[in-house]
Amino acid sequence: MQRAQAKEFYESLSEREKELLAESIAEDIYFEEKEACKEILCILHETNRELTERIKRINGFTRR
Amino acid sequence: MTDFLLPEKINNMIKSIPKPRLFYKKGIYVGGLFRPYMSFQEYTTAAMFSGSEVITPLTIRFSAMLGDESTPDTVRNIKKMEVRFFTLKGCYDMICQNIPVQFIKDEKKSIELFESFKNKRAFDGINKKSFWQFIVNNPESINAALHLYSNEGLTDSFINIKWYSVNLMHWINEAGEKYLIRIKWVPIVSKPFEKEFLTIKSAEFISGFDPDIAHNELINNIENDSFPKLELQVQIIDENNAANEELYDPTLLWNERQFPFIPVGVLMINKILSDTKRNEICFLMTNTIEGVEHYSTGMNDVFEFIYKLEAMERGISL
Repeated sequence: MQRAQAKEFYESLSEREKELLAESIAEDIYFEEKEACKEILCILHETNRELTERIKRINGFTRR
Repeated sequence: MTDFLLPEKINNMIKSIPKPRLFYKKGIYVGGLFRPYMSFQEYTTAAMFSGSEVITPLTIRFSAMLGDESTPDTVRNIKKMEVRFFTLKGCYDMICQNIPVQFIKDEKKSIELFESFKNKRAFDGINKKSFWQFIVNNPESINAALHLYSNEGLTDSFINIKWYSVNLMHWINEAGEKYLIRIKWVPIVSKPFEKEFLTIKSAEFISGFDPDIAHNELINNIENDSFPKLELQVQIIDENNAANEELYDPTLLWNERQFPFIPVGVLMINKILSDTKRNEICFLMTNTIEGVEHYSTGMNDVFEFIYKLEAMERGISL
């Protein structure tokens, strides 16, 4: 249920707010170890796939 | 040292130094008034909600959970608005924060949660590593985490943001019927404008340029007679229809389409209060008046215990 509400909250945000949210999380986890990063992205992915994709794009994980 | 009275004098001097708070160290006290739009006697016997002619004086403390007096207002933080209404039938404390949901409902996890707000000292900031590990280990906290990392958690104001009650309440009417209540304060602005959201960079710039920006905005508004106003809104559920356990879960919101917010009244902030005497106030969720009842949950009990313990440590009588 928490995930469903988190998803609903994310979807209610404007495009700018979504980008800022992704940036904030991306900055926090940038220096985390790879495994920890995976775990965080995994739990965010279960909430909203688009958010995870944004974070990956910002941190350049897709190119690693 | 030959003066045998000197150690006692030194001891008294040390005792007279105010002890710091455990958290919510940086804050400001202001005073104001509350007036309901109409009578809510159908739901509560509380006199302060009995009609638009009833004006209740109040004291508010705006504060931020993490950091200390030197922490900039634009650091990502859980901000708090504590209101004490001085009603004719006693004091009523309403405690609200800028995030609408709690991280956990199981109080046994509270120590682990508090650890994630510790870098060098307890509650000095978000520890990125342990915070995100906590979220991974406790997926129920994802809802609060997204709110904290959205622009609700990164603000430069106390008066232009929304505030949500940290605890559930019951309103009780003359017939003894109970209603479950959730509270929201919404800023009233005469000329709404599209404000640019804070980014990490702009927040960092303001941290250096004007670290007390939220405090200064509040003070300037009051000094220029542009008194800030907040509207009290409530979600009301008849307790007979509140069997669903999810309604009592602090990690979840109530569906606004099902339970819309109803405007109750308006609060106006009109004076700045000196910290010296006000620091003796200990705001507690259990300080209620006739017609209002605090709904106790595990996490709220933990916070209530901490507030009481901290107040006693600071020498404040409850």
